[in-house]
Amino acid sequence: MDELSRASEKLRSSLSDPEWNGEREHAILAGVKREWSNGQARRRWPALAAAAVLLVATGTVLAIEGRSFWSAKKVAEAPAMGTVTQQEVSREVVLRDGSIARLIGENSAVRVDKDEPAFVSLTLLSGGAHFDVTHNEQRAFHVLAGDVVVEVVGTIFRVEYTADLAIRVSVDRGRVKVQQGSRTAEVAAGDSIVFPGGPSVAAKDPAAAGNADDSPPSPSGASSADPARTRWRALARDGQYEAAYDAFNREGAAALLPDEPGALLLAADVARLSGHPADAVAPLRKLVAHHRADPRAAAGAFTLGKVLLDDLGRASEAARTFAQVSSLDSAGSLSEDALSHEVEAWARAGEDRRAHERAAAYVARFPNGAHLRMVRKVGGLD
Amino acid sequence: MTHVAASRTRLSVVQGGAAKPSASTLDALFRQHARFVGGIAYRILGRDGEIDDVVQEVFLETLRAADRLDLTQPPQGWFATVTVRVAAKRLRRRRMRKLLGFDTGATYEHMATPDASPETRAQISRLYCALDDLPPAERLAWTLRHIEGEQLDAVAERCACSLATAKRRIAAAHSRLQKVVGHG
Repeated sequence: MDELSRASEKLRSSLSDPEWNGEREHAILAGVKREWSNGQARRRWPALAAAAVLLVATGTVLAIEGRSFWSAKKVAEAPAMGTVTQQEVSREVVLRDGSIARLIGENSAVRVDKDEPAFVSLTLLSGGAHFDVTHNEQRAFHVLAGDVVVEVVGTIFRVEYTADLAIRVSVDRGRVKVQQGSRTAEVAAGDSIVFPGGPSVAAKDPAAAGNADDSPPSPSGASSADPARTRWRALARDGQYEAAYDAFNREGAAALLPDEPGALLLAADVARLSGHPADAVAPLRKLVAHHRADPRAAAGAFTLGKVLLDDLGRASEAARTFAQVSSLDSAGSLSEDALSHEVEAWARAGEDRRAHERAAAYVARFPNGAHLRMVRKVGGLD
Repeated sequence: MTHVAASRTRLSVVQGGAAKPSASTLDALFRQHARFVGGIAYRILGRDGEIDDVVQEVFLETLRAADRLDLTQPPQGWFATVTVRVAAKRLRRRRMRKLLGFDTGATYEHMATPDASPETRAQISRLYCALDDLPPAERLAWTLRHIEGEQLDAVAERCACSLATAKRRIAAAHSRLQKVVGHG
């Protein structure tokens, strides 16, 4: 190796990254959407015009009403009634009648139980989803979340698990009937209702966080706790993460954050989903360190690993964090994913030997694993 | 039954056939990869003021190519290749501007980490000034090899050229840089 090669290798580690923050990301993304909608792409791809207008109008990729190009295209590709592996995921499901379920935020999951002309039934397993249901009085359309059943004829509404595992149903258009046990209610457009969480898969969902602010069901779903102290929580539960982040900082909530799994996870979510992943590290580390016995610790470690690897480029730390997940994950649902990410992280850190070792461990433990191909390739087993 | 879950790394799938992104993946895709793209652009171009345009163009290209993207492969390779392509255009434009006297060059000491020594800062600045004088194709190949640490076949792929051409460009750039940068 000559002098210049040696020098450049040394200099490589002395090069800084560009300054990167949420504001910059937001501005660039806004530029992408603006240029896309201004027709530069429309000239090349006329069919995307509707989607482009929606991007500008809403500032987010998905519109509440109407169809995007992608979902229109997917109408012909309604999900078959089969099992989709963990690798096969989509942020939206288009049903045979054209109704759409769009997943909200990270770690959301929906299961299609029935998709028949007279009866559609979906289960919200975790997180939240936005439903745009075609009007059809001849068909029953149900969404189940825990022990809450939402029944609709044709409307636009959202169902989500809140941070304290309550179930919130919000209606944008039309009217829905909601039932929990013997209690029923009708919710009209512009209203929402919150049910306390009952027995549900969400209780096992690692992404769901506990919160001391449980509220009884009420049409507005507002918390009865001190508004000044919990404004950021309310905003977070509403999915307004950027506003929640601002409120969190304004309220000095970091100093007052209880050392409690639900609050720590919620604070981390606010940081991540508002585009400030570096601020998610501290609460997630605390969760993993102080609450190892809590069922949410494994999810916290997994999320921390993802933040370190994908958002912050700290591959070695990410690998070590993913390695912790198995010891925390008594149910085992995260272990396979975590090990595959650990392999990827070691490889990205340039630690080929460790990547190879952990890839071999993955193959031994999960010989038919969903990530087998990637792990073999990245771990150098092929 | 069909189980559908959102995931940051698994962006979309369609039953049968190649994976295609949905419009709803743009935000997730951006949050996941924009910083990565910006980092590559910065190390290739050396100028922070150009990064935003490059990142924007990379994601626009991604949207345009959406129907032929295969997201069963890790998307970082795609983003790296498109970033190189977009950066190459900027470098060619910069070279033209320089020839016409519109680009008066820049200093590059800001590219060093805050804890870098003055000597290291000066070396980095000298290197990037020297890179500014290289033909864009050679500069790109050399930067990918010696700054990004890419393997030769990856350099060839990113630069859309043969392995032999990539080696030739790297060698040519290296020879010129050695004369200018010397021992640093």
